[in-house]
Amino acid sequence: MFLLLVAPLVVLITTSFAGSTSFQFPPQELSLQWYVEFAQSQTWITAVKNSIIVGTGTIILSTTLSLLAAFGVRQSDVTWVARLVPVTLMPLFLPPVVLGVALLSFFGSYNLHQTYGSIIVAHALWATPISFLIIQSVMTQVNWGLQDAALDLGASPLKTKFEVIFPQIRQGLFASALIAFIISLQEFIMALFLSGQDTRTIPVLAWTAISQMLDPIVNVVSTLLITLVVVALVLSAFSIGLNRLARQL
Amino acid sequence: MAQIELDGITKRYDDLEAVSGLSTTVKDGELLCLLGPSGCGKSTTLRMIGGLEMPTEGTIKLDDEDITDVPPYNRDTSIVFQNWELFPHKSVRENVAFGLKMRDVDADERHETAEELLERVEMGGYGSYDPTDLSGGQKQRVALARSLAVDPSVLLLDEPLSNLDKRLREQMEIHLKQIHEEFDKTFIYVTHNQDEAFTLADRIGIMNDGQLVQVGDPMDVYQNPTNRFTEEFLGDTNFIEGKVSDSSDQPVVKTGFGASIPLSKNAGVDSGDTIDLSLRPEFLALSSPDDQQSTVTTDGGHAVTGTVEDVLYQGSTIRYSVSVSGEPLFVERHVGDRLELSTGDTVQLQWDTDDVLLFREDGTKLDV
Ligand SMILES: Nc1ncnc2c1ncn2[C@@H]1O[C@H](COP(=O)(O)OP(=O)(O)OP(=O)(O)O)[C@@H](O)[C@H]1O
Ligand SMILES: [Mg+2]
Repeated sequence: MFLLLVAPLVVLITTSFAGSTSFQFPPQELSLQWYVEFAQSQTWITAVKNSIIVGTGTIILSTTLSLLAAFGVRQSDVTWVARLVPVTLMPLFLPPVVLGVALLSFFGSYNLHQTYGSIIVAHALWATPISFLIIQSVMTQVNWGLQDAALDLGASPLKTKFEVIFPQIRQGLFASALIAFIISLQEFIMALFLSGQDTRTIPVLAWTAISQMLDPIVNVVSTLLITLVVVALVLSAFSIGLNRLARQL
Repeated sequence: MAQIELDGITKRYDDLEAVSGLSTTVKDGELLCLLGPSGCGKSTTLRMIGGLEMPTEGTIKLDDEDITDVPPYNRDTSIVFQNWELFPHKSVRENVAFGLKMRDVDADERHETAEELLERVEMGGYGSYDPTDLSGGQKQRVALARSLAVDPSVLLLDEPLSNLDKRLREQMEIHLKQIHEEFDKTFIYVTHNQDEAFTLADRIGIMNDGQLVQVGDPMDVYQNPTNRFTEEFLGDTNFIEGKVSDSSDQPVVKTGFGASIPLSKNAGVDSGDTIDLSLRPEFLALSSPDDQQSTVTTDGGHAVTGTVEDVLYQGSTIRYSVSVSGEPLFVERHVGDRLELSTGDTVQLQWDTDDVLLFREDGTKLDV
């Protein structure tokens, strides 16, 4: 089972180091030829830049929304607010095609499709519920007594958040930001609908490249993406884990 | 001047009333101890004064100014919390300087003040420590310094010593008393420990079930409890049930073992009423029945015979449990008294009628 999962990855990664144009496995010779080509391709560099812009935007938007929501839910005395929390997960269960089309017609009517903003909103739709859940779980471990102490010593509610709550949820925020970035980085369908020539993200460009002809650069990009995702996941798992550990000591 | 005036403050959580119509005045520079059992609403009261909790009803005044709706960060009060609530991600110095930082005092100045205060609480040299590396007593001192740093008119202390062991607690009581005198501030100190309250307080307020039962000078509260709850909470005492009988022209309270206490005619009791008698162990004289001298019943006193049921050594004191006509009474004596009684011995207990406190069924005190 595990082999089945890993096999395509192995093929992909090894072929990215291939010395020839063909998609042969195992490759005849190893080289960094395609990596060099990737680094020299203006289209690919733009796609990487786009992905980073969209990913960063997604982080900012989803983390801000999640933070506001988590504080809102905590401070609200109304019971139905807490019951509504699962509803925020809804975007995760809608087919991305449906979301993509819906957003396209929405943004299209304002002529805002093909902008970074539209892709960021789409990605935040997915990333926010997840980062909200992470932040909520981190908030259950916050010592709110410290908030009382800070208010008592003259810190305004906003300053209190920065001075004593934020340091307690830092790791959770970091993890949630990384996961938001990964979600944005790998999301393809909505980005395909909403991106234009200048705002293509990496998966969109890869798909375009592949559909025209088998481009070995795609292997390179995929390998880089996989590495990035694995590193990010390990980092975020580690930061949440450290957070737990620190609290239990 | 920093006088706190509480006027009928009440706090309700859903259907639970944590504090019920509490009114009192804390004078400038006074150290008032709110003393009461766990869950009686002490913390809630303190948090309302500090602004962390909004009273459901009633008003709070600081020097004649209504501060009921003033948020905690604009109130001239500061709380020392039960578990201290030191900021774990800040150094000891930053903790103490926090309040000044919030008041935009520049870094050098606030760190200097912090160091000075750390010296005052005997924590000089710990400025760069991580609060999590400190012992309970040290954290307590830092929390105190942190609150003093904002120079509040009123310092509110919520059982700050309850997490410390007995010896350290006694040291800290003395230290706190010195700080109170030195800084000349109004202190409101919450505790469930009566020794602590009697050591520290200028005045004591006894709380029970969300209500302020009695306020007064410590000795006065101890000697003249107005209420059965105060009597029970302040010291170990023997409660004995008695009944009012009105056979003659004067009502008397009769107990199970024959001792009876005359009441005045206008005591406002009816025949058959239940009255609780409190016999404090310190007023009970204990002697062997063959010791002729002490069997003499003094004027207005009572003497009953009983059997020693149990002898309990409690360090410097010995507690005897004596059964008198089936009612257990306890008496305490110093080890130095060398009574050398053992289980099964017959003894005599003696007391003065004047020393007996009587309480009506509703808990109020009955004056003899
Ligand atoms: N936020 C709250 N929500 C609901 N009930 C509360 C809340 N805070 C306190 N209570 C209740 O109010 C009552 C008084 O609580 P409070 O903490 O004031 O007692 P306390 O005298 O300080 O007790 P302790 O000695 O245990 O600290 C308790 O029954 C408690 O359960
Ligand atoms: Mg309490």
